[in-house]
Amino acid sequence: MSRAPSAADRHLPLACGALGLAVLGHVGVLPTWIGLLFIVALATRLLGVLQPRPILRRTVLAVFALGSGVVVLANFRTLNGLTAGTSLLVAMAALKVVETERPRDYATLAFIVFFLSLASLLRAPSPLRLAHALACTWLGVQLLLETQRPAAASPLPAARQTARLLGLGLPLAVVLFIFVPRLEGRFWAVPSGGSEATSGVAEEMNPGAIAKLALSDEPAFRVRFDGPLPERASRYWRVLALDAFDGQTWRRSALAATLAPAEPADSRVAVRYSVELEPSHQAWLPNLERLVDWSGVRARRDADGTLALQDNEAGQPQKVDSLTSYSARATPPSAVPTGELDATTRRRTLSLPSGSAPRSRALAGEMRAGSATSRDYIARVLGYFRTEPFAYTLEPPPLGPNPVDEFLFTSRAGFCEHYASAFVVLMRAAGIPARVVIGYQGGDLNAYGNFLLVRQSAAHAWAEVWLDGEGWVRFDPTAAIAPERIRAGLDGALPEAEARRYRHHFAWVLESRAALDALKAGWDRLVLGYSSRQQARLLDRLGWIGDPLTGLATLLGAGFALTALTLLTLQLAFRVRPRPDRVQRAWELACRRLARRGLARDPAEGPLDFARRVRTARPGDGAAFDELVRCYVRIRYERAPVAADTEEFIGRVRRFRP
Amino acid sequence: MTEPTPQAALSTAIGVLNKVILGKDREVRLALACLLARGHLLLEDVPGVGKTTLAQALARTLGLRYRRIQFTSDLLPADVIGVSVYDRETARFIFQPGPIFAELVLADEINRATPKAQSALLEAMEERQVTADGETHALPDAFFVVATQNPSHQLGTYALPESELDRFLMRISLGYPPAALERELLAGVDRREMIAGLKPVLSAAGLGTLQDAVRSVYLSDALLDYVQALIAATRADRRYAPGLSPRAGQGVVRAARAWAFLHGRSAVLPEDVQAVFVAVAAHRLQTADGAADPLDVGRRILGAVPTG
Repeated sequence: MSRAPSAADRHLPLACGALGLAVLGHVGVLPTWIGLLFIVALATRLLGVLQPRPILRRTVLAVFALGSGVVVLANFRTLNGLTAGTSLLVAMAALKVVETERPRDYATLAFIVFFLSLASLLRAPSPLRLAHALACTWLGVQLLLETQRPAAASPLPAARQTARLLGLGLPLAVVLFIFVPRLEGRFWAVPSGGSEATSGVAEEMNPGAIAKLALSDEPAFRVRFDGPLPERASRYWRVLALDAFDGQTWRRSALAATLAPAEPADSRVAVRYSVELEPSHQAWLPNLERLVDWSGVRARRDADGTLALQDNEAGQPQKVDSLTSYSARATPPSAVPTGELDATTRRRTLSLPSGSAPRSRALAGEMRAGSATSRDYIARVLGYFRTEPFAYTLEPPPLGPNPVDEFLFTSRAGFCEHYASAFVVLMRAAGIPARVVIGYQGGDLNAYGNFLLVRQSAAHAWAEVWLDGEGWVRFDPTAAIAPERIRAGLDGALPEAEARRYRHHFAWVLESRAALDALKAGWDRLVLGYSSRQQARLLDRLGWIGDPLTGLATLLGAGFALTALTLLTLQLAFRVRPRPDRVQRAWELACRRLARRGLARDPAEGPLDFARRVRTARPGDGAAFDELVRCYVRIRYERAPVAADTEEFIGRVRRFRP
Repeated sequence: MTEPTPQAALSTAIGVLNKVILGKDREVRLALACLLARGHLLLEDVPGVGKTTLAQALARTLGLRYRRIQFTSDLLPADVIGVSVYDRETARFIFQPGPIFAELVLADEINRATPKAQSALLEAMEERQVTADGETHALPDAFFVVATQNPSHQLGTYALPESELDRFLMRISLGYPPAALERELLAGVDRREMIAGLKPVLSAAGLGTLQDAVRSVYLSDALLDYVQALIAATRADRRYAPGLSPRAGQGVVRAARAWAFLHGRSAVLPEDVQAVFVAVAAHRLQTADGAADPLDVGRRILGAVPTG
């Protein structure tokens, strides 16, 4: 049994193109075997058009379908969730292509295209993906229209009709976007599946944790300042303070997570800024040091100064799963007076696991003995880092069971987390309360959008030390080894060989990246940031008093009615008076000019008759008008007029001044 | 002397005809256009204005075999078509062709005959063949009927039903000549002698070539828009009961092509349509009191529809 090429096969290239484009939105997350299956299926079907081939029996297809389902299940341990579901859908689409035969099958493929493009938007609602979804929709609609089209017809009308349909749909989409009530939180509770990694700083710090982040160009958050931009060296964005150390890993203790005592608000010399935080899948909100207050989100401040997002109902910590904006105020470090460190926190921030880092403790004792004050000691420790041959590198040698000692005395090469960790251990060993702080340092000004973009590569770790009378004071040991890291960012600080491997140095790459990011920031603010609060503000501005839901429903209805009315009017207007083409417009212009001289053309009068009348009434213009009419008649009534005629005619009309 | 081109022969023919029928250039041209469009012509007028003369002159100048059938109330179909007579020698019926077997048939005073005799002629016009005693006989390639009729309100006439009027591509009236030309007519030679002295400038074959050429006259979209608007206007106007039929629309286009060709154009212009529209449309449009008044059709329809 073999299949003869059917008339519906002519849709195949379009269908494969649309499907391929839709699958492109999921490249990188789909398992490789799905991609291979997809390509093989499409190629098989396309080759089948050229050469009749045996049909795959339904039973074979069924086995394939079942097998794909099982493999997807084995891959993801679930069929639910975005990636698993998409994988299954793509596999089934591939098999559907193989058995595609009738126009109905192509219609099914068109709907698969729609679904896949929507799923791609669920991954990340970015402008690029929106454009991709629009392109997919275009091809899908065109495919649906093509299946309704007789075989001989030209494909052009279908394309035109698609454009018209999408054009008609666009205003409705905008009305829906503006007036359909926005839901708080994530509307699509998409189970994100195990494979989606979290981004941003981790909740615990191992050696190497931040070095990994330093390779990521992903934006972490954007900041707009009210007023001047603080200088780079003071742009330390705190995310989390880690106070518990087990000899290997720094963690956050439960104590630190208790609610902060209410402090007297101090708004002297406040820096105001607003942050748009990319989804980090963690609760922490980055802020400048010494946060005064914040607005725009519900959050709690913990004893260690960490700000964590809360959900609206129970006050539980909530992860930042969608773009989140908030504004905050902070004071410069020196401005806040401080009280006493409570005993529990002091104990907590002095403790070291027993038996860990003996050589470091010995070094600390030695240096502490030679220093008069805590500040002297800190200066000596920083001096030690500066004078001893320490190296700043993204590729430190692996460390053994006692990483602090090994780092301080053997390898002497590391990244910020090594220095922060060793520094805090040296502080605690000398009886000075200290903790590790992780967050971001620096950020680049985007000249297009006038905002500060902080990328994941700006992730950083430093230390805070309790000084009596001064409170928690930031010390950054990395600045002692690689001051360029703080002054100019990571690029300047790395050894040249490493920098070349990890960084772009082309100006245009950086430039276009900045422009793209400004675009993305605008999109985030206008589209993704459009929330129920913005809707309420819109209602307010429109003067609506009362229940916002009723208001939105009314506006939605009104918007729909208005859109429908506009479209109807346009349609009627276009039907009643088709838009005359250039030639006709020019002809009417020439006739109007004659009418102004008292020689109006009767609408029912033919051009030659009119020319004759003009010749008799205005012999002076007769010859010029004759030529003009000859040209007009040639274009309008004779076989195969050429483009040059049109230009000549329009030129003659332009010169015709009776 | 070389054979003149058919196109040149056509203008010669117009000149000759205008010498015979004085002051009727437009009607002469319409009649010629009608023949070029392979249509039959209905001349409607009071007796004595030159209907027969025009038909005879046309036949002579175009070089067509000419027969005249005088329609009377006792005319039988066989008088038109012909009869089969028994031939004793061959012991068979032999068909004796009637006067309709000619290239140009003048059906004089067609509305004087009974409907039965009329229908014999009209069938022949439509089918271009006749059937007698179960045998079908084809008419010549070039076959035109020029029928004349007296205005139907005259005594002793059977008005043609509208379905039969539809067989005529055009209906034209001649009317009286202008006074100066009528004087020339009165003073001049007898028309009958004049016709006898006419020399053909074309032949049936030459006419066929011209007719084929007419069919290749170009119709632009803009022009078809205009024709359709005219037809739509007749249908929208409540005074004309059914409006123009699609066949009538085809007739307008055919006649307009011939008119354009006659004026040396390779494409039809709105003026061509306007020139033939009344002749083609008026006898097919019915008003409450019979066929529409030609003046009315010209004013109402042509004056109201923009040429675009």
